[in-house]
Amino acid sequence: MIGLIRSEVVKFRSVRSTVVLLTVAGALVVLIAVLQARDIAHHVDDPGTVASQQLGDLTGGVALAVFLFGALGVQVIGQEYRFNTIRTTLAAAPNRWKVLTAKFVVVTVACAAMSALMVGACLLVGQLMLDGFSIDGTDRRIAWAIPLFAAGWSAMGLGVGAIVRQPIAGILILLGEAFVAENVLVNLFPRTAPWLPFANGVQMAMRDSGGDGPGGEVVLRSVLAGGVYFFLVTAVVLAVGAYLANERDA
Amino acid sequence: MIEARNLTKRYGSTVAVDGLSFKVGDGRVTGFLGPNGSGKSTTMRMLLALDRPDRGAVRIDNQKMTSFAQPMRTVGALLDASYVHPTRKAREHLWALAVSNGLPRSRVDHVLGLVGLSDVAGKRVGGFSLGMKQRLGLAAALLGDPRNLIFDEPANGLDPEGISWMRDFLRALAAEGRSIFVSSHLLSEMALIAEDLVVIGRGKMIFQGPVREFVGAAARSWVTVRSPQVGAIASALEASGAEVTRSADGGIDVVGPSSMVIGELAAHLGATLHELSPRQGSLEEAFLQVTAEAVEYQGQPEPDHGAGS
Repeated sequence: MIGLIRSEVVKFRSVRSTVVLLTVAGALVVLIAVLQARDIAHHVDDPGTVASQQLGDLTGGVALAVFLFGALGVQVIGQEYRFNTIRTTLAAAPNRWKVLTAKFVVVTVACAAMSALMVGACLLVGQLMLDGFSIDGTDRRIAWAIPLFAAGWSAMGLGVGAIVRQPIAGILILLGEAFVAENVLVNLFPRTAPWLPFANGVQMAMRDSGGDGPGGEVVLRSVLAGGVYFFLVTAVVLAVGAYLANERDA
Repeated sequence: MIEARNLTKRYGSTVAVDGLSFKVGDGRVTGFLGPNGSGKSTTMRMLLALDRPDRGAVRIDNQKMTSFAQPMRTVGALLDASYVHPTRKAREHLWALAVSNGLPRSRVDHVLGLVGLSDVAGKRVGGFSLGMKQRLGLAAALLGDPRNLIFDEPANGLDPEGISWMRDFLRALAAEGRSIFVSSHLLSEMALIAEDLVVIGRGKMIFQGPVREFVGAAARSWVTVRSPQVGAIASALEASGAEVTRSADGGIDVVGPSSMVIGELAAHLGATLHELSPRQGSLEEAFLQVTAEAVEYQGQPEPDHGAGS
């Protein structure tokens, strides 16, 4: 198993697109944190303005970066099918469960590690650019939830990639599910809100989920229950992907 | 040793491979022949557990492919040279495979040297020619120094020097006691490389055995005769029931009697012989003869519109 994980690490870092995606995701969050910090610093002395200066105000880029992590999850397996290298991979390692486990470990650890770095960078940006920067309990939850959610969404990408076996299609499905399908569903049928995996999961990585307004327009699960639900859905998608990858011809 | 037992694979209502059983012996090059669409590639994928047979089993050195913890040490394969990521460097492609089977980095450099790619090991594979990719695929197959090798069209894309190199290479591998199972459409090459053949058509076994036996049974054999008295010899042969064809250069090709019989007949006639050569049809001729009924996709000759008249 260690050999397979090492093999996946070599594959991961030796393909340009995966390295670029990971780097762009990290850079994007830091860039947005800097812009947000500058904006807060610019308005902090405005009369009548009570500016929040906390970690959760600087991690707005995470939602965008998470999509890149999802794409990365799709790429890790989708590229293998696109270039047919899956046949070389599986001829060298015929136990498909192990191969998928190795891919899962590598992509989730890489995304979680990059997310942790991003959170660290946001902390640094806050401390360097904001005089009244502080961290409260919600910020601490966000700090560990961001790497966790990034790992989860990349795992979701891996599962989708194993199911559709097409990188572009897999990425479009992830984007469509999170950005389009969930928004359409919740607007047309507000009662579906507790069953939307992305909306329920991503709120654990945000200060204000905006998901449970007083008018009852959107009611997500609680942060904890939403996170658990998200990971359950991810596990199901991964299991279906793994089953299909194991059963279908390579 | 590679062994297929009653392999069967269906795609919907189409039976791609139908009850194939064969063995690839140690220390021998076994050619795998069949027309397009006959199920060769599907069979090779099943040998490597990439495709699941609907029925039957594969054993490599008497074990299931999936039972090997480090399969590259037992079986190496080159199915298609294009199975590489274009932005990955050659050395990294091999290193990713090597490390999955616990092979040392020194093996990567060794096989790169074997196939003559050491100088481009740090280059991205997307810039490689088909021949270079073919060599890289060979290197990957040899990484684990396996006893069994499976090659699908290994000479594809190679230049004449490369084909000659490949021929010697496969022979040398077999001479080391390895089982080599190789498919190719280059029948002239196959005739030079292979000792045994597995020939299939429409997924079914047509022949398994030594190349010589296949050609002897399926291809035409005849005797070429040249003589100043060729007319008399031809008449005598025709009278005895032999099939005689006159060639443009004045000789005759005789089907039926052996060269010994023809020689004795010429002596009896007092004829001088300038040539008495037993001939045997080629592997290609035998293959076309045997698989004529099994060809799925067949071109038609271009209609003659009177060009040149």
